[in-house]
Amino acid sequence: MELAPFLVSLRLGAWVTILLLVVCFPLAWAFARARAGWTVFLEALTSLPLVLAPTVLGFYLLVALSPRSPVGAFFQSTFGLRIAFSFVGIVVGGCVSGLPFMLTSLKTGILGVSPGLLEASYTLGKGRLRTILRIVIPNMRAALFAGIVTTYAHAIGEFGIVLMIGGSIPGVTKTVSIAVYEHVEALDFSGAQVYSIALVAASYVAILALLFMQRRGARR
Amino acid sequence: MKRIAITVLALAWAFSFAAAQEKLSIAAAANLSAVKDQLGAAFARMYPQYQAEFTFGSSGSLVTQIKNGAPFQVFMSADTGFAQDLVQAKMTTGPAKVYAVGKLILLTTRNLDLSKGLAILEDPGVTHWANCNPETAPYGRAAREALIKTGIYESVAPKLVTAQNVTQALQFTLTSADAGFVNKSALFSKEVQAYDKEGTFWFEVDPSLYAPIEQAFVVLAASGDSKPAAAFADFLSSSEAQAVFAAFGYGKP
Repeated sequence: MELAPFLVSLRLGAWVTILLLVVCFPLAWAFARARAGWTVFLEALTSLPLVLAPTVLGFYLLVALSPRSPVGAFFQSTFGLRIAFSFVGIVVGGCVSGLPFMLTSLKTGILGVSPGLLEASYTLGKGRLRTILRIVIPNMRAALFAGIVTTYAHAIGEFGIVLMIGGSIPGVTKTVSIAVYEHVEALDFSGAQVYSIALVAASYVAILALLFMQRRGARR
Repeated sequence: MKRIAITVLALAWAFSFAAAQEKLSIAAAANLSAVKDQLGAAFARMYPQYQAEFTFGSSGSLVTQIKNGAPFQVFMSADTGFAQDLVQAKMTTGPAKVYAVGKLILLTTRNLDLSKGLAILEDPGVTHWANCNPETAPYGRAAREALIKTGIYESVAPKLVTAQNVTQALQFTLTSADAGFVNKSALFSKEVQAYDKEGTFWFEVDPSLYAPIEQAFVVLAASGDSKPAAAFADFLSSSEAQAVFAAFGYGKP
């Protein structure tokens, strides 16, 4: 068994989770507070990756990130970076497919913070940033944790998109799920077992942690 | 009147089933996807009572699926090894038979100086080249072998992106990779026709650099006493089928 696919998967999960956390919080805040009717269309768009086949996303990303497309050409000429077949590429893919997981968790969390608390904070003269940092975030810990765990686990389990845009480069884009696939294809079932058992164990622990956290939250 | 109409409709419905062609499901190596329509049409001309349906994948993954009970009647491999694997597992009705010899090409969609031959992959202008997984796809194995024989495999390996089958290698080549090893028959698929200029966008890899890609098929035992499968086996060795393969750049067995 090689260690490299695990490291790639863990790094992928970490990057996707951190990036989505940063991107999704303001977005979730806006959606939770939105009064305008049209935002529902935007929200539907962000949930699309939840139901869309990963092959559709992979196909569009493959085309969009190719140096022949405007986006791909921009990165190629500006940063000398070919997004498809690079670690950046699978992070982009992971972010697109993980977006709804983080976003819905955070939105649920933000909606769960009682408006009374917010108003009290504002009345006491605290600004919005302080209120978010001191009131909202501490009060939505469970949802925050759920968002992080599901996004991370989902990114590690991501297969379709990585398969389509990754190119299975050892140490760069070859994740554990790709390693499993390749071992099965090569009829090396025992090799596939090792990676699969590790994935099952890690996923189980993640879900377990999530449930513990939820129970603790419910008891309080 | 109404009753008669209903009876006629019901009979028509029943007979539509009786007249329907018997279906034949074929698991075929990805490199055959461009040939599918013509091969199917030639088969239908010879045996109008049967209808061939193709499922594509890398030979390795198809073997895995077949071993785990996938309901195919014929397996068309991209080499003899994978077909032989099923023969040894006693899952076929007979030996593996070669139906075509595949040819490997290097394809690019960019302005590369292909007169350099395989050494073009060492060029700094090539940052990524695509090949399909040599462990599961015979064309990938052939490409690796050719590069090793040429002595440049080690130096170009860091730029390799691995596709899961030869069709994906083609996708990579058409989108983000600078060049890629694909089957010659790929030149006949729709997306590639714009690049069908020998010497400008592709060249045939010297066949002496790799073991011949002898593509073999087997009739699967799980198909039982399948007449469509037997008919298809006959068809593959017919001159009609051979003409189709020749038209798509395959060599004769």
